[in-house]
Amino acid sequence: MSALGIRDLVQAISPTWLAGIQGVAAGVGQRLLYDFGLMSDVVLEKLNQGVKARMPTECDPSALALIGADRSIPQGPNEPDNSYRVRLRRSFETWQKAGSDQSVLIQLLGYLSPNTPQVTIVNDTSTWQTYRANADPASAPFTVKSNNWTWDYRTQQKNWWQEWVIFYSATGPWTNEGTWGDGQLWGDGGTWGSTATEQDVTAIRQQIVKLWKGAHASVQWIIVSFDTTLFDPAQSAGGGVNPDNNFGHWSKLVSGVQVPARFDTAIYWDGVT
Amino acid sequence: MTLNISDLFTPATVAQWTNTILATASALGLPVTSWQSGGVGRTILSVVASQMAATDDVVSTMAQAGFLDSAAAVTPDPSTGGDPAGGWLDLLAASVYDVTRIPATFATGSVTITNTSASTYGPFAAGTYHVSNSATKSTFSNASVLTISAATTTTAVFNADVAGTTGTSSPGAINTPVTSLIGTTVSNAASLVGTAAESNTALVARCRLRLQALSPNGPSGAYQYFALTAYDLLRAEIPSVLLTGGPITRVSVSSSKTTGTVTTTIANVGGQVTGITNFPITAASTATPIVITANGHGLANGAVVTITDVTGNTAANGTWVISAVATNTFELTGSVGNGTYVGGGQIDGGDLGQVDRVLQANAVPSAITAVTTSAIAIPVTVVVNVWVPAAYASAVTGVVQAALATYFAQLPIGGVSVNAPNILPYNEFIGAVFTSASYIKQVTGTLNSSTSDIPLLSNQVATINGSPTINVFST
Repeated sequence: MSALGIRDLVQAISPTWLAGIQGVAAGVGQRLLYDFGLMSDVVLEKLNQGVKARMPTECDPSALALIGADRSIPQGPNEPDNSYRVRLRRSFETWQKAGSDQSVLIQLLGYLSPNTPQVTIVNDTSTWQTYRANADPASAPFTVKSNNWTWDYRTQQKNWWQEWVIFYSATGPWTNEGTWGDGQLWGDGGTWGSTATEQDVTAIRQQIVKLWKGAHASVQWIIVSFDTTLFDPAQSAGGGVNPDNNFGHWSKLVSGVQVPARFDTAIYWDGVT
Repeated sequence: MTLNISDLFTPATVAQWTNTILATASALGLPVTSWQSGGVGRTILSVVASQMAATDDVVSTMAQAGFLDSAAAVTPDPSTGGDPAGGWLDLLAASVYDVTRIPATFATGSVTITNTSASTYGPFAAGTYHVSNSATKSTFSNASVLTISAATTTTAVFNADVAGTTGTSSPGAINTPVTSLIGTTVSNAASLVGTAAESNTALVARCRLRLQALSPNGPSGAYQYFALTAYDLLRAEIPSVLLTGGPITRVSVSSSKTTGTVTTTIANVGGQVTGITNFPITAASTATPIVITANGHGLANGAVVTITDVTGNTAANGTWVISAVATNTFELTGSVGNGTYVGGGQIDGGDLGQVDRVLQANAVPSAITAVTTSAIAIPVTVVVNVWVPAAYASAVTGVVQAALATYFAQLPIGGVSVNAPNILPYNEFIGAVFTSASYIKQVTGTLNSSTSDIPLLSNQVATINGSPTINVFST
């Protein structure tokens, strides 16, 4: 939609003595009216854009953050504006699914776009819901019901509201930052053990998982795995692939020696209740 | 070309418009440099520039009105004296989020009139006998017909004449008969609490929570939204149900890792929300009205109860106002028994029970266990010393009282986390008093006789213990 063209209107309705004859230079009065009409057009265009500013598919990119705040959907750090606009446009429909595991997964995919990793939510009764890498969030997650999720014998109660979020980040968005004692420094912009930023962790924990999960759901841990063979719904419990019922404590006793209990090619962020 | 959001939000000044119009005129070949100040050309140009600036201001405001936070910035806040009808924010909240601002409530409660004379006064029709709080100057009127008998004390319900926190009065603060009758004095044994209209900040937050409330799957925001909106939802029921302690102003939602049970902890402006939830019934008489037996129910006359799952005498099921309250029984006003009680039945009663009923109906998904509890009020003894110019010495007490009431009414459940988690922060309390009036020069004070933060548990809410002590010093 174009501006209303007040200056053209002024030209059209002005008598000839004021507007001048076509092809002949306009007089002072006409030029003044043109000037004032142009100013009116400027204000009308501002009004036009001011109304569009609240429309996610029409607004200037600078308005997206405001719309996102109003709809409680943050833009991912690398998420293209165009895909974010679509997420915002669908926000009222999306919020109707809040409280479900699928809604958590969809928001995680959106936040991490354009190159999304495989993301899974598995609960304590071994129901795995997965969006594969670069999946279409309009589809349903791939679901596997198994009997292979045994996090820890000390807390194991097989409660369906206890959940784990798993990112399979072998090819990004984050990489492993080495191991303890390798000489890398604190304060490099990443978080402990990975290139995920503090902003990433905060957004994922507080603005996505906490907001979109059911109030009853208790996310025990958020796991970032850098090894695609780990946390496999098709494999049995333990076996060096899935938790072996000893993951609740940092170490376990093997042949009289305390060894790391969890996979060291993954990192573990605190969960959210 | 699209305009940046900050350009849309910022109107150009008259001077900027003048310069733009001049520059354009010059580009059009007009001899602007020869136009004299005060001449026809310059004058017309100035008029147009002022007109454009005024229009631009309106356009910028309209642009800001499209977003919650910026709409709040261009809407005078009704909780602090803005138009009770609201403004752009209210339009946005109602039209996009279907959320309406919760209005201010009138302070209501019992006032005792002591008549030492030999004369009987009245009857006074409702709203015709008046008393006041001498500190805040707020006035109150009788809620129903009132007769003040000779040489007796009479207790009656009074309503503040003006809605909002100005009517809030600590015990004993209502101390002046406005309707002057020889030999009468007045006092209030308990606090009367009025609540301000929902603030812009709270309305914005509730709009965002409304999105979560669109889901039937029970995100925590749905529990928060329906608890904060319960006052309006209950008021709209037929018959209308009024939360006697005013709207729920603070909510905290948590869940148990081991049971999955969701606990919604609520507080109103006074802190504690009274009532019972899922309280068991042991009998319901086949009488008119029905007498309910529920041992140790703790409800008071006039409370609203919702009874469900009674079998046999099923007429007991429904929402009722109760009367003839005894320790273990009460009557359901207007009820008629329809059979012999067989068993079952539970009560959601008082404000707590009614809010729980709203949550169970709107926020809790099937197969989920959710309970509603009141925050535990922790009374704090408050002493404030303020130094003001002598001219303000008489006015400052009421101002500080109101500021303290507002501050404590807004403290989150579990306090705040400033230097430590879950505290009532001493410095913030002092700051709330200091900023309550520009003429206050200095403030000191204590909380529970100390200048330290008050620690709170996550389900506790700090309240003022009785009346705050306010010592005024003239400078």
